[in-house]
Amino acid sequence: MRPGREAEYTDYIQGRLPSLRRVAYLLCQDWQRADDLVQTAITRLYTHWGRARNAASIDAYARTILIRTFLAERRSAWTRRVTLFSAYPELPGAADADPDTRLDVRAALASLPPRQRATLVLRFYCDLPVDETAAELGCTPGTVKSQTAKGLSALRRALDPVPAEEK
Amino acid sequence: METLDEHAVRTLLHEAARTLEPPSAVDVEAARRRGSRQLLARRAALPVLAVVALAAALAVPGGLLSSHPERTVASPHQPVSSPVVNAPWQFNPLVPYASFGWLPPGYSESLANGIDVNQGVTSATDFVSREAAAPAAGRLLYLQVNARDMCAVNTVADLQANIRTHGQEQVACLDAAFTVTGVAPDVSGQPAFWTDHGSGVAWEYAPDAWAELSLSGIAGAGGKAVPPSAATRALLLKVAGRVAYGDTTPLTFAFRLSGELPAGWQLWRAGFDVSGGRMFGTGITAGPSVDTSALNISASIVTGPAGCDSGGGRSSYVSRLGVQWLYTVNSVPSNVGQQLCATAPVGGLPGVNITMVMNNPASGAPLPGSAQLGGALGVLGRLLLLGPDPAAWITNPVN
Repeated sequence: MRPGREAEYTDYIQGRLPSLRRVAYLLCQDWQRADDLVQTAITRLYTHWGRARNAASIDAYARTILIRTFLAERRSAWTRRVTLFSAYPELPGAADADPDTRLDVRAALASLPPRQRATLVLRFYCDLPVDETAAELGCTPGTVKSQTAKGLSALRRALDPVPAEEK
Repeated sequence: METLDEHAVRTLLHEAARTLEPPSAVDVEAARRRGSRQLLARRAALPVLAVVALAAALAVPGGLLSSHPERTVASPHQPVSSPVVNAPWQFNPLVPYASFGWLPPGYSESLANGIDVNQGVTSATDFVSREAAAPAAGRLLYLQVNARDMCAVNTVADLQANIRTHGQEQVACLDAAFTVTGVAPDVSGQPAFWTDHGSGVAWEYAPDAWAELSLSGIAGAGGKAVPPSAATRALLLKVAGRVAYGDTTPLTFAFRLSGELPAGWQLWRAGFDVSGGRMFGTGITAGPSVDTSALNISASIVTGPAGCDSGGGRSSYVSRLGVQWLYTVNSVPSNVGQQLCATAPVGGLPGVNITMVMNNPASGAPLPGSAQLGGALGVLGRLLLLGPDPAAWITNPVN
């Protein structure tokens, strides 16, 4: 890569690293795995920088790589065989956050299949419309809609296991 | 319409992401170095092999280089390509599966050598890419032909329906992605779509096998997409309709790695360039399926000061093949590996940069089969350089 592009790439990554890490964390629920995921994704982004820099949105291109790396990793035999212990101590949340809610949401999110989780993160954390979510996931808008509905339903069940009529 | 539940989920997700972040373990410099290594095998740096061939061609009256660049296509083909009944699931990287059967006047694959717009020309197990440039027009044609089932397309009807409904659809392939934005006229009788609003065309050249051809500006002359026009579309369709599949012409390499690859390893990629109508291998990438770029050997001409970069690891010098090799061992967790790099005069050229990279998994566990090779130094011991005469070059660099 030419030196100018190297600098362009480095500047871009340094500027976007915090947001890429947060998206990866929501996907993985584990900061170490999130960092591994981001490391792999930004390496792939480097090798595709020629195309990424000419894309309509570099952010979308980078996020697509991140999401697909996550989904590919989930599909691999390695992650099906290996379950990492979740014993790494979590750092406390921001002072004004409700720790119980955070833990509940993370647990609920972790219980979703990877593709549903990725769909919800793109739709509601990254605030992407259905068609852009579909483009980043490499599926049809119809699939995004159905995955969103299933994911929301599962999330509701996980967060509020008692049906409303029984309350 | 957004429901209250969706709004609540949005709030909850933002809340869930608000843990205090631990310090980042992401190493941008390591990503850059590792990505750079991966590009070595496929980027279109001006390669020594092509330059040697160029020198040889120039030395021959009426040499291999044609004065009509459009005639520098590797082999003669039918004017319009025939439909392919079945594309392979996996290509042979040493024999590029597809080629331009015809190029417009002013375009040449030879002229594309060294132009850094895309990722360089590569023959891999999952795809073949080719480039042809027209420097005078500042234009570059990029062709990528993917093996069967390498692109995520449900059915052509689905693609057509999604374009009608949403205006575009992104198609992900194993090693690339393209965005289809409209239905194009058939290519050789096969369904086709415009990509990026007409600066490219993608077509299903065989059942479940896709190719994409795009036209862009050459870096330095803007590097941006070419504005779509009727002339651009006509040119794309004409070139696409003449792409040749199932080529049998092998690459020629100026180096050989003696002995077999370890069990479970295979050759995944070869970088190559076209000069004087011949295809010269510029690098190979091999490894086990868990790390397909474990071993990377590439050769490129040095245009400036010696281009060996230790990358911050522990370095020493090793003497072999008449030159001093910079031997570097990196132990940064995200970039564990060994690199050998030398700059040597070959065939009267000022300097040739030969780089060999051998990755180790970040876990520190030995890569399956790497012990058999004896690490990068073991590979170096098996490396033979075949000299500047293309007559001595071989088509199987690993045997």
